[in-house]
Amino acid sequence: MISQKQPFLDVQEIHTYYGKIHALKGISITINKGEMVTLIGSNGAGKTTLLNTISGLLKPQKGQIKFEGTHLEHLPAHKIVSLGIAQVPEGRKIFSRLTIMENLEMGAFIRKGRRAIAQDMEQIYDLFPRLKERRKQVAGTLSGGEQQMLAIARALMTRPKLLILDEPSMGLAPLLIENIFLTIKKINQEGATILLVEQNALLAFNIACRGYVLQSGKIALEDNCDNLSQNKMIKELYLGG
Amino acid sequence: MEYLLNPEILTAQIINGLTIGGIYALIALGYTLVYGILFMINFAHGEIFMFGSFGGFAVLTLLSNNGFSTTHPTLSILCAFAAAILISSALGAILERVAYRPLRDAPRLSPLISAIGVSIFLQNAMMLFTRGRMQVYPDIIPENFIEIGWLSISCFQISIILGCLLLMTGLYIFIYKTKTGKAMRAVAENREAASLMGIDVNRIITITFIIGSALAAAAGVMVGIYYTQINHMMGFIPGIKAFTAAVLGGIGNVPGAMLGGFFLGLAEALGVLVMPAQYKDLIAFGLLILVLIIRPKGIMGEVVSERV
Ligand SMILES: Nc1ncnc2c1ncn2[C@@H]1O[C@H](COP(=O)(O)OP(=O)(O)OP(=O)(O)O)[C@@H](O)[C@H]1O
Ligand SMILES: [Mg+2]
Repeated sequence: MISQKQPFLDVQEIHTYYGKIHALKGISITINKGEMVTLIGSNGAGKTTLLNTISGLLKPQKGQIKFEGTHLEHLPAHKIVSLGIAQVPEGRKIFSRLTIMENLEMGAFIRKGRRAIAQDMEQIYDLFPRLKERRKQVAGTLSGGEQQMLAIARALMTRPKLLILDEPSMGLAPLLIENIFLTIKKINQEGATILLVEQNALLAFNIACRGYVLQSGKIALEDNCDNLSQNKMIKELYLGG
Repeated sequence: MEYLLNPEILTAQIINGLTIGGIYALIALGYTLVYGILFMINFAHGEIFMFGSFGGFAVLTLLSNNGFSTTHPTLSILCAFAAAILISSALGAILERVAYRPLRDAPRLSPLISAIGVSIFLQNAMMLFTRGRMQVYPDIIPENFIEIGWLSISCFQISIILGCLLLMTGLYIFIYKTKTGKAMRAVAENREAASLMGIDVNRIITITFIIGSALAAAAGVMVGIYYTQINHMMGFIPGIKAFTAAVLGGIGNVPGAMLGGFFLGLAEALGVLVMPAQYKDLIAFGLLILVLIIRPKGIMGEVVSERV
């Protein structure tokens, strides 16, 4: 019999290029159902490239990606969303000319059932009360922190099984970061599997259970977060000594 | 110059201006919708308008030859609009697929050149088909005039103005109130983020071309019925004028294209009161140059500031 314990997300030996630039050089990661896994690495290591390859914005030249047993590597991004993978992109990329409500409606684009969508929207508003106050406002008028909340909220509206976050703390004040991270933890506790990319390794190790360290397109280390935060090399490179 | 103060002439010119302005606006919307989503000027849009006009012509000629149009004039005209919209929409969708999509990631000049090539191709195709001859729309409904006191308004003009307003209202509701319309705006703003929402970006782009082409087709039939004579070159000048209208209103901006169309129509109609009629085109292109120099974002500019 084939092993019963198939990983939730299984990335095998992925190679992704930008023209001639070899950005991912044979990356393998696995994520189990219900886990929160973090991916850290310095600028240009290839974190965003890996996330975009999983979500289908980029196509790998070699290797395979399986999600719940389905091959993703040849599917267009909009089909991958329907399988249950949502990405909160780097730099938020909210629809600034649409209202907050319309942004959330776009999150529910693939879904049917008005009532369930309306219910989810109410839950989202409970999670982010500031968005509720401003729901008729054009999203471009939101502050940076509110935009990040909207980006997460919009991804949640797809009802993801796997939520991918690309540097959600970028450019935010410490208090807001704490707030966002608490929310991410809550989302994970409520059942979503999470892949979190962070520059701030300390924060990431605090809430995730396992981590991968990415260096110039390759996985340099993999371990549970406790071990990673004790690792000498990590301390020097990512935790400021 | 005293005729300037003559209310009859002035009103007549205002109505003329609104009629042609509505037609400019319908065509301008096609430029602006496509620009909003692909950041390219579809220079073959005037030819899509021309094909629509010929589609309507073919159907009306057929229906008037077999006598159907004498018994059912309104239905015949509706058929003409339907056929025109069908032909132009199909043409727009095919054009996008064949001439623009393969160049989506190419430098911006490439799709522009492709568009100009398509435009020349379509003009010549129609020229071969019609042997270059002028065609005349069959006379189906007599041009009645509505008299209100000293005011006499052509029912054609009123219908065209109302038809344009109706189509524009429909478009506005579609873009701002329906799921597909909202997805169109989302794709216009950020294609990658939209596909992360599960939106099929290519499908939305095809729909955008179809809607823009359908509006141009409606304008084509209106022009055919109103001016009666059409030929394979008829897309060129209205195309450039409508492009001017789109730029006036801020290219990519939907309400802007509507306003720009009416503004240009009125400017031309009132302009001929103070200068010889053969200078009419000068007004449009003078305005285009002026706007590009003084306010390239158009009259409406960007409504919302974008925070990055
Ligand atoms: N669109 C692109 N075209 C060409 N090269 C790119 C492109 N995007 C990224 N790269 C290159 O690929 C490599 C990986 O970039 P990537 O954006 O994945 O890094 P990252 O780990 O997300 O960095 P950061 O922490 O700054 O977000 C870098 O060397 C980068 O220069
Ligand atoms: Mg990145």
